[in-house]
Order: sequence, then C-alpha cells, then structure tokens
Amino acid sequence: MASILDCTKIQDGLSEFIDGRLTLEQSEATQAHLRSCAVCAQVAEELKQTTRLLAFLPRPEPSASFEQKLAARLAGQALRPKPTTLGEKLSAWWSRPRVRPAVASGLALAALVPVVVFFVRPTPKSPLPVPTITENTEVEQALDEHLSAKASEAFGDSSGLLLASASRTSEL
Amino acid sequence: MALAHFWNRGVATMTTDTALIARCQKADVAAFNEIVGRYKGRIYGYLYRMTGNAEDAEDLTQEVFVRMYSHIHSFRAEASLSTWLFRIAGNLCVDAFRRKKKERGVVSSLDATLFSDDEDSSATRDVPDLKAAPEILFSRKELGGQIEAALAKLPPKLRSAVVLHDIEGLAYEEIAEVEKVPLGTVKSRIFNARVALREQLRPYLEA
Repeated sequence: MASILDCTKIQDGLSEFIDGRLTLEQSEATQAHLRSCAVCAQVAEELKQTTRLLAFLPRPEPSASFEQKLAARLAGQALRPKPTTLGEKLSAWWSRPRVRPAVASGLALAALVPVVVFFVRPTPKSPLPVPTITENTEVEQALDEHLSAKASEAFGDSSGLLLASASRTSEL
Repeated sequence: MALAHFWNRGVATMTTDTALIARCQKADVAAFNEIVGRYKGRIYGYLYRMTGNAEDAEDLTQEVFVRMYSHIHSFRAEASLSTWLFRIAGNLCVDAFRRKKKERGVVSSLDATLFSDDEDSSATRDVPDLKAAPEILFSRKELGGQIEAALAKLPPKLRSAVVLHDIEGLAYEEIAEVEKVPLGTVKSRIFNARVALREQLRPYLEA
C-alpha cells in the first residue's frame, strides 16, 4: 500500500517520467510505484494521453505572401556584415542605438566637472567661536602692575603708571 | 534507433544553422531567406498559440525576422538559432501585451488570457466548455479545435512552456534559455500545464 507522501512525490515527477527525463533509478522506482498504485497509474496514463492529444492540434501556417511582405519591410535595409577588423568593430559599436546618447551624456558631464570645481567653491568654514573673556580681577591687576613697571622703566618715574592706566582705558 | 535518428538530425540542423548564420554575417541575403523558410512555420505556430489570432501572429513573426536581420552581426556562433528566434518571439509577445494594455487603458478578458504576466491569472477566454460536451467521437478537426480552446485557457507562461516543449519540440534546457528562467521553473510549468489540460480534455481521454 503506497503512502500519500509517496504518491505526491511520484506524481510530481510524472511529467518528467513521461518525457524520459528521470534517472534510471528514479524511473524504475516510479514504474514500481505505478504497478502497485492504481491512482498514480491512472494519473500517469491521463497525462500521457493529454500530451499525445496535442499532436491533434492543427498546424497553422503563415500566409502565402509572408516572404513578400517581409521583403517589403526590409527594403532599403542592408544585411550588415559582422565586423572583423578593429575599425569595423568600433564603427559597429558606435552605431549601436544607445551608445551615442551615452557618450554625449558622458562628455557633457565631463565638461561640467571643471565648471563645478571652479565656480562652486566650498563655503569657508565658520570662524572658531571667540572665547568670551571672563572678568578676572587678578589677571587685570597683574597686567596693570606689569605695564606700570614697564612704563616706569622707560620713563624712570611714576608717570608710567598713569600711561599704563591711560592705554588700558583707551582700549576699553 | 529513434533517439539516434533524432540526435543526428539535431546535429545536422545545428551545423547547417551555424553555416547559414556565418553566411548571413557576411551579408549573404540568400542565407537569410533560407533561415526564414526554415523557421517561419515554427515561429508563426508558437506566436499563433500565444496571441490566438492569425493577424497578430503574422505581424509578430515578421517582426522576429526583421529583428534577426538587423541584429544578425551580434549573434554568437555557439548559441542555438532556434532558441534565439523563440526568445525574440517571446519578448515580442510581452511587448505586444504591454502596448495593447497601454493603448486600450483597460485589459480585455481576451488579452488578459493571451498576454497576462500573471501566472496565477484565472482570467480565461470565452471558449466552449469541454466538460459539457457529449461523449461522442469527434473528427480530428473538431478535436483539434477543442484542444486549441483548452490550450488558450492556460495562463500564458504555462502555455508558452507546453507549446515550446510538446509542439515545437524544444528541450527543457532550451526553454529555460528562451524564457530566462531556472530549469526547475520550466519543469513545474510543463507539469502544471499538462495537469490543467488534462482537466479540460478529460472527456476525450480513454478510460
């Protein structure tokens, strides 16, 4: 008694069995199964008959004027020989329908590259943020003392302190 | 014996095809005409089964040879001429479907069956119901008409596979090349087409 699993497997391969495409081993297994399973044997027979029936199909033929119409359609077109030399191959390549637009697009893009490089310069980077000077009284005091000392050295008197104060005031 | 005959015939045809192509590629128009004479019937038969009418089939067959004429220089010698021609024919079928769909805006039920890309499409042509036919002996012509109708009911991808194999005699591998699908897909398409045809033609099968 064949199992349903066996039947499914066998029936899946029946089309190839009919066409003689199974291996010898598969074919013998199928034949053995068909001898013991009436259901699969009937399916195989029906598929075989169906395939044979296709031979009864009428064979349609093109019209008697087929060649004449074809010749009219091809009038003015030469049968192009296969290119053999490099020049002929290049010429054949150049005459292919999509080659010219592709080459033209490529050249146009290539021409655009220097224009883009020249005119569209990268935008300068934004300057670094200026650090905010926090008020620092100690630093200011040290700076004042330093400036007054330097001024005193130059003028040799206390007017340096006045000059240093004046310069800082004007800066502020 | 039969296999050897088939093999020899196949090899001989292949050799001659190759020679004809070589002559075509040297701009020999007589060789082109010979190829047309050799293949027009098979290509027309395939396109007739796919389009369902003589006028479209003839136009598309003409177009196949026009394309062959203008692209003969790009044909590779190691390829099979019949596979190449059937492939052009198959592509033209798909193009024709798309064009008709665009022109009409709406797909009629006839077109849906003939050209639909949907393998699972259940749209069918308005053909006689074989199951309702009385069990009488049909003449060969009548039986042919019924088989034709059953074939037309198949989704296009299944129809194409079974026509190429069972009518035009292409091998599974050649069909895979024509349709640009894996071999497994060809197997399942042929199997499913036969199962569907069996259902349609059951009244004509011997018990």
